[in-house]
Amino acid sequence: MIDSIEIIVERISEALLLVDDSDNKTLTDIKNDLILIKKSENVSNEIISETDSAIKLLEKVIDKNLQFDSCYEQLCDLANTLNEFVCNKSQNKFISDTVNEPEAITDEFISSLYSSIEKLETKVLEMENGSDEAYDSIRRILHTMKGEFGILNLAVYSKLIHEVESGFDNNTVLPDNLIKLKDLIYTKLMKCSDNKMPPLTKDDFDSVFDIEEDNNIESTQTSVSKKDNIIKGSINVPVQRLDNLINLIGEAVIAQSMITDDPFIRNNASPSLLNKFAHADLAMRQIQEMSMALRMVSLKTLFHKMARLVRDMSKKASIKISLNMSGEETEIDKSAFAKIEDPVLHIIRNSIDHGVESQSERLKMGKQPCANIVLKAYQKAGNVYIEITDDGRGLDQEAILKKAIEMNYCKPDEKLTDQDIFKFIFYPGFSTAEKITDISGRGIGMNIVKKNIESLRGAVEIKSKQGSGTSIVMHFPLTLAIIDGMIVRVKSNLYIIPTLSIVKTKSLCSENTNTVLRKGEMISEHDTFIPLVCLGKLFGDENTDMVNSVAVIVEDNMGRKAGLVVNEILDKRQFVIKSLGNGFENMPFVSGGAILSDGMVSLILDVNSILADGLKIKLETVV
Amino acid sequence: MAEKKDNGTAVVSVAEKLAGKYLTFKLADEEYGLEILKVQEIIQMQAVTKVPRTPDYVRGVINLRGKVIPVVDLRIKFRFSECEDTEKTCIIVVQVTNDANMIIMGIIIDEVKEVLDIDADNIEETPSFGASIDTEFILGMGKIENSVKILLDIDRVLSNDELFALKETSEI
Repeated sequence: MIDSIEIIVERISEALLLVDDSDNKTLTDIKNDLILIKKSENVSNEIISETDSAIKLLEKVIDKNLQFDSCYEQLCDLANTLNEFVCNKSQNKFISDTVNEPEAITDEFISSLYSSIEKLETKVLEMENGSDEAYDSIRRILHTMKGEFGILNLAVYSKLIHEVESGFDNNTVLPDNLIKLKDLIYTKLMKCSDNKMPPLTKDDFDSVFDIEEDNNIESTQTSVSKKDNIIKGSINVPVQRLDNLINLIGEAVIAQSMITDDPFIRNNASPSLLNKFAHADLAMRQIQEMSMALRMVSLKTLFHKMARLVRDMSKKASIKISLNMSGEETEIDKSAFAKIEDPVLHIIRNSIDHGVESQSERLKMGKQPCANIVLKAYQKAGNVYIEITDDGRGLDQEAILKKAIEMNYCKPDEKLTDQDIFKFIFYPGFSTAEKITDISGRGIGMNIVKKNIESLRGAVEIKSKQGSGTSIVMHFPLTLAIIDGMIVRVKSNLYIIPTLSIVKTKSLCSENTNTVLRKGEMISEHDTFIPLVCLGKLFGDENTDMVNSVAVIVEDNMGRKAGLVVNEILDKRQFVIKSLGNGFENMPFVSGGAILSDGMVSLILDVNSILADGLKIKLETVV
Repeated sequence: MAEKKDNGTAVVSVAEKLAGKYLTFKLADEEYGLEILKVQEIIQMQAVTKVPRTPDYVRGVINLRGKVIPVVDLRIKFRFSECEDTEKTCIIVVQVTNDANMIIMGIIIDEVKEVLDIDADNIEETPSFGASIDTEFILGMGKIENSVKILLDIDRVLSNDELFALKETSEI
């Protein structure tokens, strides 16, 4: 005999948990193992006869004369009997659902289980949309999960899944139950600590089979922030180590450019040496690009979560909604991911709660009864775009304007474009909803959207036509570590102004500048006057002359414009953002630093604080 | 450092605690000592980028191999007369602990001297000058032959609140 009876029994138990009726090879393996057991010594007659009948059943299954499920119970019983027998015989500890303590669960287990339940959810949603293929996938996923729990001796869990499986086969388990199963396991996974799954109570068990509508939406929402703990890539690397690597590569790139830009080398190097430098430069840049890509994650999990949200909410609101998603493979920086999750959630909620009309209303308007929401992500010119479009009633400009006047955000006689009016919805506490529901209406959501996207140095655009829908486009730079900037000179200092906030540049001359009360300078631009902020003066040098200067007209996130007076514009390119170090994070006027090719540090200006503060100072000096 | 001025035995134990290796440097005409464990490296003087609205003794920021660190001019910090940087002027990069945060920053000094091993017998407590001179960032005095080294508590010298106290808008 090759293997001892203990090993054979263990192998059978494992195989039983994983086997599928289509998997003839495993079935044959089990059969052969059973034959080995029958032939081995010291087994009781009882076991021999049970094994015998099991072998016969298996043969039928292999020949496709019998459903595997119908003999599954019996095989499990046999496996248990064998296990007990082996345990008694050797006093050793072996896998047995009833006897053994659950084993410690590992991170691999959590992430594989997590991906299983995510897949389950996706497939359930697909099945609801009428995919036949999904039905089989669900069975397969349930089976794998059962196996996974089984391996770790989490008997109650595997029993639960087993029940769900059988219910699913004879149609007593509905998609809702499967969704609940997913939620239950998800919450349990979230709670697991010290490598132990929390115990499954009877209530938990029953809740899965309970069809009564409960509030799923809240539970998905609260778990949003914790999710990051569990998303795992193919290789787990501590974030710290990754960041160190990225920093080091950044240093190497700067060191490299300091060498190549060195005047001595520029003037004395032979062409062949310059060629070698160019080669090294290229490789270096590729390494840097690669290092940036290391931090990227795909939007897949976000998209799946939104699919679920739309499903739950449309059920609750009894509106039929179809969600079309594209670009889930789009990758964004991991830290950006956490920031866009909420905005997307809020916009979709708004779409469903305020945007799309009820079925009857839609029919009256001559629209398709089923509402459409499109969630689209793509990359364009170094930016990530996320678009959410619905075909609902659109934004009501008049109502927004009325409310804006009411809240004192604008004057009644002000002339505003549609875009200007739409911007009011981003103001904190701004809501035209008459009643506040548990989903939306407090006027917080859109404010979060704007804040989060701006913290990613991005922007939000709204397109809306009353009666035919709203489209909200969020875009932000691909990486948080690089900024597009214009490098300007103020006296002997070089500063970087982010291109994103620059409207245009204009040279100053006596014809286009005016002063107010001899102090506040302005520049005329078309029909409006834009205040000028002299950077030299703002930074503490009183003897700054405006003659022969250039005004860089910038716009802050409140839409205010001002011209920053600089001596010269030198260059426009990308800069790697560096923190100014501990303690310097909250400096006014400066959002960070960047290292120029000569190794000097240049400061990146924070347009928002310059405008907020610079204009205030100006007023004080005027008065 | 809680020192009991009237208690002789307590002073001895403080001196013992202070005994160890110090990096000494010159500032104006005086010599100072820095605990060697606080020193990360010594670098050549280099061009410093000014940061607006910082106290005058914050010279600005420099690029330390890809990392941006603030540098403090110790002469101005101690209200000594300013002087031109010379060939010997250099930056000592120190690790300052502040509220459990470790901050790396540079201090500009006139000239680096040497690393000295100062034992407890040669460390005296700081004499009190009353209110006229603030001595709270001085650990003690090290006597080496005929000279005196002022041992600095660099964490206190570069305490965060003071260092990054922003200039009020009215000062501009």
